[in-house]
Amino acid sequence: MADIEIDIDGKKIKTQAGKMLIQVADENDIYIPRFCYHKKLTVAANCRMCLVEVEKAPKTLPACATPVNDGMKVFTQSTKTLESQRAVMEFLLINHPLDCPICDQGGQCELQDFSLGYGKDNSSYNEEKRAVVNDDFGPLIATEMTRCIQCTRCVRFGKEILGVQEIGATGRGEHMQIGTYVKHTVTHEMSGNIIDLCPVGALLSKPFLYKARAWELKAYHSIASHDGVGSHLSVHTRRGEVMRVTARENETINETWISDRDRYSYEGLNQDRLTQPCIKDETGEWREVTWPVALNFVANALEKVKAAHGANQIGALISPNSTLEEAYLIKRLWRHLESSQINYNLRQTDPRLTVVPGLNIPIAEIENQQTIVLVGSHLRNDQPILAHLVRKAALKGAKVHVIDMIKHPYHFDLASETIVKPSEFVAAIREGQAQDLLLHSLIIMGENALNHPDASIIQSLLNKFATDTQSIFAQLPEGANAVGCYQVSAPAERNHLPMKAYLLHGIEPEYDVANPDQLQQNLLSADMVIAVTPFVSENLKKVAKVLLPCAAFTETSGTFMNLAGEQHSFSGCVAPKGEARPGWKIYRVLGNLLDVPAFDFESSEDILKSLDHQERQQVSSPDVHSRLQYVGATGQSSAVMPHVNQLERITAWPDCRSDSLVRRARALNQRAVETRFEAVHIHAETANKLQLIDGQAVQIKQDQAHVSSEIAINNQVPIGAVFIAGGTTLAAQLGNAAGYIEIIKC
Amino acid sequence: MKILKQYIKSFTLWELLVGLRLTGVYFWRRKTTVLYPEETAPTSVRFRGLHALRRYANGEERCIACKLCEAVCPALAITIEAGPRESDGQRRTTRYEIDLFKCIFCGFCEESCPVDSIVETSLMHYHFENRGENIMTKEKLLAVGDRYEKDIAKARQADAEYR
Repeated sequence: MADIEIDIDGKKIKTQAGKMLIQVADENDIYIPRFCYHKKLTVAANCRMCLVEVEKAPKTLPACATPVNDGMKVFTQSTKTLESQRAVMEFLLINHPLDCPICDQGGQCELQDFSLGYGKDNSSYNEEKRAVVNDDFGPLIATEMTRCIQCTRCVRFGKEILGVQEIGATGRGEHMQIGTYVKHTVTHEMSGNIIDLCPVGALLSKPFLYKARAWELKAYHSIASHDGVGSHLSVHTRRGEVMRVTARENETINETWISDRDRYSYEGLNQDRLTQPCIKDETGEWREVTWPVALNFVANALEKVKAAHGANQIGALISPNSTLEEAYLIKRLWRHLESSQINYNLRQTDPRLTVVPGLNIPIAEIENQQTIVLVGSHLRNDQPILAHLVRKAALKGAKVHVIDMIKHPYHFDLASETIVKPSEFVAAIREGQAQDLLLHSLIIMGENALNHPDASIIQSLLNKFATDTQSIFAQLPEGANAVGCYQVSAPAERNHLPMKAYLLHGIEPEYDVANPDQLQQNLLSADMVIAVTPFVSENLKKVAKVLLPCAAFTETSGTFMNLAGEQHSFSGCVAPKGEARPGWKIYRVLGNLLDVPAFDFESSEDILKSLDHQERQQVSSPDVHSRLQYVGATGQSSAVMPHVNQLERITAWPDCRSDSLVRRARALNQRAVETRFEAVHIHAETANKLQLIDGQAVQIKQDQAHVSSEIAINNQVPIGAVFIAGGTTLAAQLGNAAGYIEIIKC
Repeated sequence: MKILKQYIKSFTLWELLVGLRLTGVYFWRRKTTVLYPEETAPTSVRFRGLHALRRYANGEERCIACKLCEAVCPALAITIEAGPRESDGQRRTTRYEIDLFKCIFCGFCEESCPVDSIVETSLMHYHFENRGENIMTKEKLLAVGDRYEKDIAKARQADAEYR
């Protein structure tokens, strides 16, 4: 584009033709007030707040919809400009209620600010004001539509960014109203962003409703702890308590958006917290103890187990949401104990699989891909921001192919979609390779594929396929720090046999693993189970011998490595609850008690510094690719042929059940109730064959487990398969996530 | 001569009389002291004494938890927590506390209140016997308001045209 020069308020600015005036002004720190303009959305020019005087133009022009021209002279502070802005403000305030004292936006409201900065001190309007009936947007978003100034940011956001138009405008002029057309809950996984977008108090966060004022809050920078994107967050606290979480801009990662899971998971922070170290005594009673007592007990117990049964009888099951520092210290401790049993890929059902997590391209590069293949990846659920970027790529013309076991609703057009049962999944991928249209594509192996019982075969097939087509092969497992965990403690040979001692870091054994039933039995038969956890549950009390309270998300400093391999450190925002301590401090002291050499870390930064490159596995190094050998031709499927009545079980973790924090987030779970995640999902045809109806109470049988549940007819599930959501009470009572299920009518 | 003058003055206790003149003036002048506590000095309608939270005539509490008083309080004596009221979802305080040890009785809270809820009454005769009683909770403040509503309303009425 041609370089041109324009003049804003006497300041000469070099810019490119075709840009809008408001963009140029923003780039040069000249502020023009606006309501409807947002840099990530299309221009609507309906609020008229950005009117500015332009030389030789008969009237003031909207800066958001006026392209710059060479030699243009703009006056943002002239009498004419200010007069039009004042008039616009008066119009906008005609129907806006004067309820700032009870409006949550008060103190952070653009309308309030502009009214003060650009408005008049009185109104000449004495007639009746408009009142609008509220729509219910569900448990996440509170509405007060009388306050709406019809900037339509939320509507455009729905159409352009979410790709699902759940909110729209009906009526015209003064009768224009924003609503959901037909009464229904807003369900999109990124819908919470409309709260940040709304310039007035029409759309507000429901869990935060009336809780605090903008001026009481302190904002801390943080990093999202639920998916591998590492979205930048702003955590707002008051008096040592997290009050809300909002998006922080980072153009290369999350732009200005965050997922609802990242926004609302803070609600779980105050639920079921463990605040004091506890030891279970001989009678099975829990006794609260001090930290030195608890840690000495743990150190002794570990040494005792090592002496009695050997070091490889000590296993660590770590949440992939642990910080890099925690994972590293556990690795060092385990190395000192001479145990190699560290596992953070807890949802995988294929013991032969070594997940090599990573996107292998920068996150922002996703939108420039020409072809994207999603293999067993419910991207919208697992990595919402990446799904948004895939959608952006699709809108630019990229072809998106999907091979999956469940038909997920996508918010963009698919070039092809193959939905098969788990047992046919590997074959489907083999067939998929026949298409040679996939040169230079991005192949994403998602959680569902990684959790498949033949994941190692799929991985090798895809890896070979990627090499053949010069494509990028990305593996996206769960967890905020899967890459970091992999780098500091790459898995050695792991045994899945029962061990004598377990360390559970940040996980709930009944929810976070592929086979809750088996793990439960292993834990119950172990001599020592140490649970380092922010949250305590009845089941943890049952299986653990020692409970050590560690700091939850926002309470500890640390580092996450996102899927692109970028390292983002964050600091603690609030103090840990009660006697809880950051995870790295716990392991540091435990290391001292076990005489681990060079373990005197003073801070998480210290740990990060000592974590030099030799300690890490390089994700992008070529040996990783050679390790993923091509076993496709010979790889034996682990599948056992089912009985006639048995259905193949598919398990995926919905976003509201993916880790211990979100499972406690009330509003997120409340919204997900509609998805019936506690029910057994089957296809209508499967139901017909088995003569089952929607909502029918049934007994389900897997191996030894008998559980009663109800049927949900869901045509996204392939015929002959059953979908059971992971992380639920239902799944917690069952065995292997990739097993066979029998449905018995009761 | 000088000696004689002094001689007479000392015999007539003249200097004492000169001194007593001031006493005499004040002895016959109208008194300004009052017999506290039987009598009290008159107070202005703007007097800033003990705080109260008011209600509307229908019994609904006025406070809407806008937190302006908390924000304006120079002594940080006010602590408010709010949330949707369980019965009808309206914005109400779940905690409203004034620490009277911190309060400097500047009256900013009263001035900032958009609904005339937090007010300073003319009460000044109160005391604390135990630690912790200096915290005026929402219940206590509402109780003060309920008890003195008539006086409070009258004082607001009298001052209305200047506010």
